[in-house]
Amino acid sequence: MATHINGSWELGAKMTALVVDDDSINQTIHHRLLEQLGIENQVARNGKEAIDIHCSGKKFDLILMDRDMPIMNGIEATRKLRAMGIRSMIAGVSTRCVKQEIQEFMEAGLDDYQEKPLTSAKIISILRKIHHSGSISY
Amino acid sequence: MANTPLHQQLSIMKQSFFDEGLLDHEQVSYLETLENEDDPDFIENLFTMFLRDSSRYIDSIEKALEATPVDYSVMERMLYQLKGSSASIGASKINGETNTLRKVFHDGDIESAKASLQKLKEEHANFKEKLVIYVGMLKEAKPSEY
Repeated sequence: MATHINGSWELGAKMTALVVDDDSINQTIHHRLLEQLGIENQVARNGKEAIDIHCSGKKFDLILMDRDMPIMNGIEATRKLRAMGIRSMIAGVSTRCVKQEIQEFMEAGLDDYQEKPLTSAKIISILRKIHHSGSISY
Repeated sequence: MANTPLHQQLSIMKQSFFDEGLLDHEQVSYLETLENEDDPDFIENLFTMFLRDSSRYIDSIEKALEATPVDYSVMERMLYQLKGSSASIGASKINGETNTLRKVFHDGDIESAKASLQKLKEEHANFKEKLVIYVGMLKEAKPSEY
């Protein structure tokens, strides 16, 4: 399925994403945002749920990983996913803006980092970095 | 789009949120682009969620600050939650007061943090009162739009 935004997606399999966030407002916004961009997505409420979803065999093109979550936070979840061999684009999403804290998150294995609130423009800038089966062109 | 007295009231009320700095115009306009006939209750649901969650976060912050010793990890988590969700719906004043409380709390002054929390609670009560009315009007306006 091709989805038109400012430019166009190259034809290929529909993109998939996993929203990992414990806040219901952010879950709702990010889910809707991705849906509008034509990206099939589901929501995990914390890092452990994200790991469990991957252990069940599911894979995603994009993972939006919140940093601060109960049970398992985004840093630990990112490390675990990378240790499991998950090569998906993982974008850290947080309200934190202290350089050291962002650095700590990046070093866990992120491909990108964006400050909340997310917007379509921020998602598109993340997606531009994905090397998909086709490439994304605008 | 319908232009009934209810819709006019909704527009006026929304504008007053912007004029009073309670809601960020840009963020709300952006959220409105995410609402359409596939999800016509999107904004209403977001505001309802915020009303519920923000009250819970503030209650937790108050309990954590009153605890002996102060529950730092709960404070930290709840402050970030409130900061994040208030920014996401464009609740500027709540976001601002939350950031002020965070800073004061990180400076280690518990008494000032308690005073800052009172300010946050006042802003929250004021915002909540108005937002509850607005959400009620949104619900009432829905059937004629869709």
